[in-house]
Formats: sequence, C-alpha cells, structure tokens
Amino acid sequence: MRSMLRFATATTGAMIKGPRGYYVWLLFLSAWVVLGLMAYLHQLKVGLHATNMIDQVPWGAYIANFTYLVGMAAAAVMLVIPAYVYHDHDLHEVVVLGELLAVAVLTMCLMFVMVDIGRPDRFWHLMPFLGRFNWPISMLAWDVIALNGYLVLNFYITTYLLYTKFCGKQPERKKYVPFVFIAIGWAVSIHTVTAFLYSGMGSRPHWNAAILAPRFLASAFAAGPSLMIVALSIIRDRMKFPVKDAALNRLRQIVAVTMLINLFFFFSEIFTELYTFKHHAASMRYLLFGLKGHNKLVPYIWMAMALDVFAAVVFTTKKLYSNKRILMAACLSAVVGVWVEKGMGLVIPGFVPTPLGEVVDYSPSFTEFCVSAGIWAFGALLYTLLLKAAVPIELGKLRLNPGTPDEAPVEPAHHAAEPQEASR
Amino acid sequence: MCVALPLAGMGSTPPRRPLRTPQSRGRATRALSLLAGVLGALSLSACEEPEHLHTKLAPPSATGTIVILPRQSLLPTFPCSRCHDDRAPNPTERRLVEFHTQKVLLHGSAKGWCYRCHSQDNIDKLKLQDGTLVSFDEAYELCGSCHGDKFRDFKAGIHGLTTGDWNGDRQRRSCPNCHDPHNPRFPAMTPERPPAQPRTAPMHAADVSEDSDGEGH
Amino acid sequence: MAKDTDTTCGAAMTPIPSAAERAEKLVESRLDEKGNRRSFLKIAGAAVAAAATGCGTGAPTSEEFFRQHYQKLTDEDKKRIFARIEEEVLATKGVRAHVADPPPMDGVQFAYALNLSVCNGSRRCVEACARENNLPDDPEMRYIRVLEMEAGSMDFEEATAYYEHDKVPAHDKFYLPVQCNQCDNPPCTKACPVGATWKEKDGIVVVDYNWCIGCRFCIVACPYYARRFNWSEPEIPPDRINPNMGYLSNRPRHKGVVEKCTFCLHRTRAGRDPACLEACPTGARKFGNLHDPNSEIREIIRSKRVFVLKEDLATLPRFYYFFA
Repeated sequence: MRSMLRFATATTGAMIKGPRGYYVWLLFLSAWVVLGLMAYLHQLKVGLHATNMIDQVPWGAYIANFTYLVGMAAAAVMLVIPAYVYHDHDLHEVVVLGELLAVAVLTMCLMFVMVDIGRPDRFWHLMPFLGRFNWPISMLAWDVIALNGYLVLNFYITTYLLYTKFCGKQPERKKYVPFVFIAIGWAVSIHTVTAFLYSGMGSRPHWNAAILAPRFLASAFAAGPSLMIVALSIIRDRMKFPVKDAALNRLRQIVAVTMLINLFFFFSEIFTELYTFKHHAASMRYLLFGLKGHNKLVPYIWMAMALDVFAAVVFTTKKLYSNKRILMAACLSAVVGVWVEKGMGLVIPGFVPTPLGEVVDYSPSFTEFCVSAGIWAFGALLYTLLLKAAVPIELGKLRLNPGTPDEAPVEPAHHAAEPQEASR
Repeated sequence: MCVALPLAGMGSTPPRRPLRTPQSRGRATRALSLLAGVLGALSLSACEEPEHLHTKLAPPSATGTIVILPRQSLLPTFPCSRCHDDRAPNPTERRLVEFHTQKVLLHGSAKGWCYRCHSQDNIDKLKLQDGTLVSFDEAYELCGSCHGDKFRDFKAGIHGLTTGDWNGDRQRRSCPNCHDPHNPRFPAMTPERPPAQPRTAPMHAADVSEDSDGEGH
Repeated sequence: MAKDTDTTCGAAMTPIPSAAERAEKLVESRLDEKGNRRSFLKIAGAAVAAAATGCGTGAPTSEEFFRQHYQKLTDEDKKRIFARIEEEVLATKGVRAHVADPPPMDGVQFAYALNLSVCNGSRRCVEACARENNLPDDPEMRYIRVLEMEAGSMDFEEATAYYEHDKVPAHDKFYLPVQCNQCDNPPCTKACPVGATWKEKDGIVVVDYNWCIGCRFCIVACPYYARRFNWSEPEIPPDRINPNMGYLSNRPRHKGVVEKCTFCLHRTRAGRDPACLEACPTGARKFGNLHDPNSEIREIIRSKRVFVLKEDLATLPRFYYFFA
C-alpha cells in the first residue's frame, strides 16, 4: 500500500510541475473552466430558462455534446482492437494514452448530463437500490450503466498498467487482458446504447431509423481516431513520447475506412428520406434545405458534409496524407465535421418539426456556450494532467524506485507475436 | 313517462337570451309559477300520448340521473297565450313587422313559416308533423323529428353540452339552448388568446400563413 | 360566459406581499388566535422553510431531498407531506389549500372522446385547464394545444396552434385539441430512467414531481407534444390559485420538473368531470368510464368512427377523436 501512496503522490507531483508553457496552458484551460462554472451557477439559480431550450426543443447543446463525446470515448477501442486483437505492436505503445483520453472524455460526458438535468440534487434517484432505476426498460438507465461501467473499466486498466509500470513490474496478464477485451465489447455497447436512446423514439421519425446506431459507430470511429492522431502528434512533439509513424498511419487507415462508411450511411439516409418525400422526411428537409423559412442549420450541415468529404479524400490519397499539415487539417476537419453532423446536426432536426408539426429554430444561449466550453476545457485539462503523469511513467522517468531497473518482460518461445510491454 | 324536470344547477353554456334567476321572489315569479302549474297540468295531458313519442334518454350510469334542463319558464315572452289569446291567428305567410320582427326564419331551406312549428290552435305549444303538441321544454322532440341522427346522438349524450359528474347526476340541454330554431347555426365565438410564442424561436409569417402548398417549403 | 382575459392584468398589478411578509402576518394572526407557543414555532418554522424553498432558489429542504418515491410513501409520510405543502401555499400565497391523493376508483378505466365536427377552436378548455391546474402565465404553460387544421387534411405540418381570429370557427378549418392521451403503452413511462412517471390503475399517467430529475427524456419520447417542463420557477398570482389540489396533479410544482394533463384526477377520481370538459361551450368533449356499458364514452366508441392520433406508433391512446 505504501507503493500505492507513492504512486498517488508521484503522479500528483508530476501533474503540478512543469515548464512555463505548461502552466500557461493550464491557466488558459482553468479560466474557461471557471467561466463555465460561473455560467452553471447562474443556470442553477434561474433554472434551465438560462438555456435556449424550450418544450419544442427539450435537448440542445448539452446533449449534442454528450452524444458526440460518447462516440469519442468509444473510439478508444479503435486503438485497443489493433493492439490486442491483431497484435499491432506499434499501436500497443499508445493504447494507454488512448484509454486515458477515454477517461477524460467520459468524465466530460457525465458532466454534460449533470448540467442538463433540471434537478441535479436528485441525482441519487438514478442509483440502483438507493433510488429507483428503471432498468431494463429505460434506455437512459442502460446508458448510466454503460457509461459508468466503461469509465470504471478504463480507469482501472490504465491505473493498473501505469501503476505496475511505475513499480517497475510487468503487469499480470490475467489482471488486465480480460478487462481489455471486455472494454472492446463495452465500447461498442456504450455508443450503441446511446444511439438506441435516439433510434427507439417513435415520436422522432428523424431518428427512428435502424441505421442510426451503425451511423453513430461509423462517425465515432472516424472522429475519434482523427482526434487521437492530433493528440498523439502533439504528445510526440511536446512530451517527447516516441509515437511511431506506423501507429499514426494505422489510425489514418482506420479513419479512411470509417469516414467513407459514415458518408455512405448519411447518404443512404438522405436518399431514403427524400426519395419517398413522406412527412417523416420533414426533419431531413429542415436540416438540408430549411422548412417554412427556418433554415438555421442549413449552412452548418453542408459545411459538415464538405469537411467530412475533405477528410475522406485526404485520408485516402497518399499524396495528401503524407503531408503532415494537410493530414492535421484533415483530422481537425473530421473532428469538427462529425461534431456538427452528429451533435447539432442530428439532435436538433430530431425535434423539428415537433410532433404536432411546429417548426422552430434553436441555437445555444450564451450560458450554454459558456458551460459547454467550460466542460470541454475541463476535459482538456483532465487529459493534460493525466498525460503529464502517464507519459513519464511510460518513458521510464517516473518510478517507485528510480535506481532499480524494470522487470524484464517474459518472452514465451512459442508465440513471438505476443503483446509485450516495452520497457525503456 | 314524463321527463323529470327538477331544477338543477345551470351549466356554463353562453345564454342565447337573458335568463331570469330562479331565485328571485318577485310577483312575476309567482305568476310564472302559477302558469307553470297550469302548464304542468297541460303537459300531463300531453303525457298521455303514445309511449314511443316521448324521448327515452340513455339509461343513467351507475349512480346518477340524467335531466334535460327546462327552458320554458325562462323564455321571456312565455306564455305566448298572454298576447295571442287576444287575437286570431293569421295564417298568411308574411314578414312580421309589428312584433317578433327579429324572428326571420333562416332554418335550412326556410320553407314554411311560424306555424310550421308553432301550433296555430295552441300557441303555447310546438307542433310535431303529425299534429302532436309538445311543450317548449320538449322542443327536442320537434327538432329530432327531422334531425334524427343528431337526436339519436343527443339521447346518448354524444351531441350537446352535458354538465354534472361523469359518475353522478348529469344535466343535458334541449336543442334551443345552443341552436336558436329560427337561426340554428351555432354562433361564432371569439377564441381565447393563442399560446405564447416559443421563447427563443420567434415565429415567421409562414408558420401561421393561410395558404399551403402541401409541401412545407 | 364570455371570458374577460383582462382579469389577469388586474391581478398582476395588485402588489403581492413577499413570502416573508406573509409569514409574519400569518404568525401574528396565529399567535392572536391561539396564543400557543408551540403552534407559533411550528408555523414559523414552516413559513421559514416555505420561504426558503418557494421563492425560486430551488434549494430543497432536507425532507424534500430525501423524500422517497410516491409509491413508497407511507400514510404517515403523506399526511406530513400534504400538510407541509398546504402550509407552504398558505405562507407564500395566503391561500388555504387542501392537498390529497385520491386513489384510483375500482372498476374504472378513464377515456376521453372529442367530437371534431363540433369543436370550434374557442380555447375555453385551454384556459379552464390552466386555472384548474395552477398553470403559470409567465412563462406560459398550457397542457392543451388546439391545432387549427386545414379542412380535408390531417397534416400537422399545415396546422397551426397560433391562430388568431375575431371569430371561430374560421372558414375551411377544423380544430383539433391535443393533450396527454394517457396511453396504454406510453413511450414516456418507458423512457423515464427513475420511474418518476407511471400509469395508474385507472389509466391516468401521472408524474411524481418530487422524484423527477428533469432529464426530459419523457418529453423527447412523447409523440403528442403533451408533456411540459418547468424551465424556470412557475409563479401563480394568489387569486388564481385553485386550492383543491392533488399530490399527483395540480399541487404546486417547482422549476426543473416535468408535468402534464392528468385528466384532472383530483376531480375525476371524485366523480366530477375534467375542467376542460366543463368549459367546452359546444359539448365537443366527452369523458367517462370504459367499464360502464351505459357511459357516453362506450357509446361513442361503439357507434362512432373513432380514431386516435399516430396509431402506427402503437401507443394505444385513451383519447379518441370522432366526427359526429
């Protein structure tokens, strides 16, 4: 237990010490967090009236962000599968970093839910046995289990791996590999459950489509790895963590496929809705062309599609993706494009027209913007802190017993391709 | 079997004519009560008519009685015989210029005139097609003799304003409560104010426009 | 009776004493009446608690924070809670209310029918419901929404709830009021993650306002736009308070919770008609017990061509429409 305490203090120490640029970054993020907190306190005082949500549009920026971020969290599995299932060594080294991103992103998801509900003081009502948990009928109940479970899984796996490495030991396979495989299935399930929140709604024909869950997963697996490419590039540059080009390339390959699938799914939905031109297509018409003079979302969705297409083109064209700058632009393009297309571009059209045929517009209020920005900043802050502790451990710079060399990994003779924790 | 005529509470129908309050204790009321007694006796005689002519309302629910609220005693010009006993009936179809000038018949094809429904021989009664006389309280018999579908619905409680308790006593209203027999179209009303506009989503003219191309563009 | 919509303006201009002032007055009058120190403390405590909670800060008392789901409350709990609510209404509004939770009647399944040939869009039902159920004007909340539909079409996209005319019915339009259908297969009760909304034995779908966490998933799930959310603290002038309150229907709600039409269960479970039915000037609304073979509602379903909205969603509404 002494070593656990040392682990806690050492990691905390790593988090709070750094070069000046690091403090500037933390300060910058903290300022946004404080802004978000103040905005949230205002919202607590006056009620959700502080947002631009109305009975016609009961979910807005908060749940749009939540939906997008659940996908991001699920996308960590796009690192885990190649590393653990296909024994891709290059990705293996960065898996922990991807899982830490999942931890930070999941925290943001839970925060977005907390700021959205009208009575956060009644959060205990959601707890099984303590409150009343409408499982298995309510999809939100499933989502509570899925998200918290995934958070616990990832937190455990990363903490275990980092802790054992910190102690200079080899992790015991049976203590983490089964959980990794559970996490693979669980990651797919968190985003499927979140998609089922939407696709199960008969009241919202725009979402009530079988393709919604596949679309969610495809777009998540396009945006997530794109963000990982950006994050890993920054980590490689700023924190001197050796990320192999092959690892980034594997991520690029993944996005190339998933972005094309995502575009195909979106196109498939557009065709099905518009060819029949039935009333259920009203939401799609609102999104793409505007309805009865309301066309707030039209420029955004077309921009999102352009960004997605740009990303797809770059990711599949060697001449383009070999250029680092263009690759970064394409990654950001995918991240933003999917955010628009899946966040605001999916949640809001689901409500327009209302079940009684009313057409309204929605855009986030200043409070919503500040709170959302605050949560994003918090997530970035959390990820920064986690990396600040994890990277030195991975690099061998942070150890329980600094002088002692690490335990050598055991090399089974019969399976040369077995995943190994490379020690440095 | 006579329809029960107790005085139950009035509902919230907009009155077509000014009603006198039943609670007033003036001489007019005493005179009316006397006349009501006379008419009651007369209507008893009308009750001796064949059974099938008198309306059977749908059986009451488990606990309550159903009552058709009386109107006769509330008609301002009733009893008609007060004036009409002094003069002989003039069956010439014409536009009235001295009294009842507002009673211009706009009922359906407006064939016939006053004596189509009002009995020439007994001005205090209404006249069914076969000559049977009914009181003003039973005007629904006359209306129902042509408007059979609506009458059937009325008897079942489907048509017409009903007040009271779903699980207790209920009150119905005779047709002329809402439909002036001389101009039966239900009067247009001023509606209450529309719902408040969505707080953050101001309406466009297209949202409440009259014309529609059916496509929502 | 013609509705004078200006009465609300008059009421709003009368200065309403603050909760603290009312509490003080109340305490004084109680002291005069009884001179009893214990009751003074009780009332003062309740008034202070009410002032702390009822004034828009939304901070719950410790009792409210730990309060269990309605279905887990004992009779003792209910007595205490109802008394607390009555004290709060008295302290904050000066109105003596009576809160109860009438149970469903045995052998009763409620249903509603609406005659579309006869509804003239007067919206009397909307306003009567607002008065009966203590719905605020600012921000406006109305359970019933009357759609003005194009003659010959059931297309909601061509309909509007915002019609304004000197006289109704307007030419070539018909009117379709929509409120909670108390579905037999309600999507809202499936959606709620904490079970704060459920279908009672007599068919009414209710909400426990103290259990609802305000996630609004039920609003997302409802295909009839029947459920409403308190985006801010509702304020009702004292002279518009209906003191006959049901715990699951029209007792005061606070910000952050969902509510909806309950078929006026505080009335209908006592045998009375819902407020909307009583207010309807044309007799378009019919209500009753499906189990009673002599009821109007049974006759309508038997003999009229009734239909429900969005039948393809298999919600099995209890609200039938017909043309007669």
